[in-house]
Amino acid sequence: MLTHLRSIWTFRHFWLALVRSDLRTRYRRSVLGIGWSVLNPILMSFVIVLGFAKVLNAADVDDSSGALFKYGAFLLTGMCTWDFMRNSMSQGAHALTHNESYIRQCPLPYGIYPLRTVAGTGIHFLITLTVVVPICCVLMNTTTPLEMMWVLPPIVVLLFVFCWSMAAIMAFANAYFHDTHHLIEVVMTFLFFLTPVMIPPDRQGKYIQLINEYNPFNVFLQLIRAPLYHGMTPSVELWLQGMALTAVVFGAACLVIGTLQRRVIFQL
Amino acid sequence: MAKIELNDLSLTFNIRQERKVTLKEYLSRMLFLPSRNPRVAVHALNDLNLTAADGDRIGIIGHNGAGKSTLLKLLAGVYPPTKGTRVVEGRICSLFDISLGFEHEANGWDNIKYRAYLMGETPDTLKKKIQGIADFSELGDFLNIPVRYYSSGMLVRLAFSISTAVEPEVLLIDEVLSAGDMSFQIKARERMKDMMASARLMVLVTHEMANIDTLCNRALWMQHGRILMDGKPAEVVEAYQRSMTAPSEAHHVGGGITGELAEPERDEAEAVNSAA
Repeated sequence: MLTHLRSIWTFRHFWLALVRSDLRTRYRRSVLGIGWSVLNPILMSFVIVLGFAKVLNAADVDDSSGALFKYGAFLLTGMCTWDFMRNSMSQGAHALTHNESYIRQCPLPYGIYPLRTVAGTGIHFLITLTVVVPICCVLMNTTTPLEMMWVLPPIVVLLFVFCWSMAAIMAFANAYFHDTHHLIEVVMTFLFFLTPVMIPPDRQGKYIQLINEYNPFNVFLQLIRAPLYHGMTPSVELWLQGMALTAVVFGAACLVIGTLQRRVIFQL
Repeated sequence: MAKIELNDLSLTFNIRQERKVTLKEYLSRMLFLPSRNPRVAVHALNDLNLTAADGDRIGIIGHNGAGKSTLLKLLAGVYPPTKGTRVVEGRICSLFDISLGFEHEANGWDNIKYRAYLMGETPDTLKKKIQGIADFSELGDFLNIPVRYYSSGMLVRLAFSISTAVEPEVLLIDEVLSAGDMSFQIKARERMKDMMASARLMVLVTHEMANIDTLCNRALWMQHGRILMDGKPAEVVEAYQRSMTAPSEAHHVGGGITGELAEPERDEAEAVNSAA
């Protein structure tokens, strides 16, 4: 595994150049360019807060003490993190099929292909996060999110490794079963409503709360929200959960790549 | 020190008639229902033995479907052998299907960078070579436009310039040079001769016998996944050309597939029609 990681580092110029190319290509003819990736979760949150907060019973809409704005901050932090996780998995599923031309010409360590995808979605996430932090300050009328920003880098690294590993597993699954990417879309849509992205955990049903204790995506939502929404460092227990989860998924990805890398070419 | 060593090497593909395997197909197989998309085994390479070292320039000839391109891909490390061992030492550079490995939305300059980085160059080492690559390709201002607007000949020029400028120790070329125009072919031959002078290992698949005579010091004649003849280019080419005049197994493309092919659904439709 270490040799694999070392060879990924050796080829860093290659995949970094491709990530830059992907970003440029995606926003090639658009006016706002990369601004769209930032606007998307913000606009979605705006629409949900204005239109659905009451319907979802997500916040006390009639309460004038700023509960609605606070809910906006809750939603924004959840949406941008969820977008990163969902996009990493659904785009990551295509990592091997989209890079088939490189796989057939020049064998590189397979970790590079999902890394290319997740680096792209990761950059979008970081840009969105830099905009979300000041917006949260404004919405909650406090500078705590800005002060707590120092906690974010290790959380973001952990989340990145988690998403990279999930993308690698999805990429190999999609190579073997070509309808995996459809399944991912459906499952992630279902999980979007189950996970406390839109609805605060204390307003969810008892059974849903129980399920969410075992929901891996919920761990990362809590990790990101702890400094930005609750204004405190994540608890030791939460840190340990996050690290254990990332380690398990990373181990699973290493296992998948290690066992299937020699044979996956025959599935493409 | 470049080296190729293949010992008793075989490569078999297990493919399905219909490429996509859905979960439904996978589950029906688990339930032991007769599969409508069975696997067939394609024996692409059979019991190959090959040794090559620095200075060898091998030309591979044979009928379509003999396994020449598959052999090249195996040497590049794209396919793992099913049986036997493969040892290839040295920095490998491969030129297969010419559209492979290009980012179509990026321009020529960017693609030079991507391909060079793919072969292990760094931005510092590439800076010294990039102008030389651009000059050799003779694409001029075309390097500023996206590569998807290039003709296949232009792509060959670009790919060949990059691949040879990064100084590989093992160069694998699969029938791509024929897309280039005559002046490029002359230039390419000159460059390959220069590379040979510095004792590199080259394996070239071609259907043009003239190329083998001028560029290679050894030729392999492949047939149905086996090496039929391995020797001096003139002798191998002569034997191959003599076999053209006699109708024989040498040129029969089909063969080397085992396994049951599924009956098409038309049989079912016929049965339904006759019952109606």
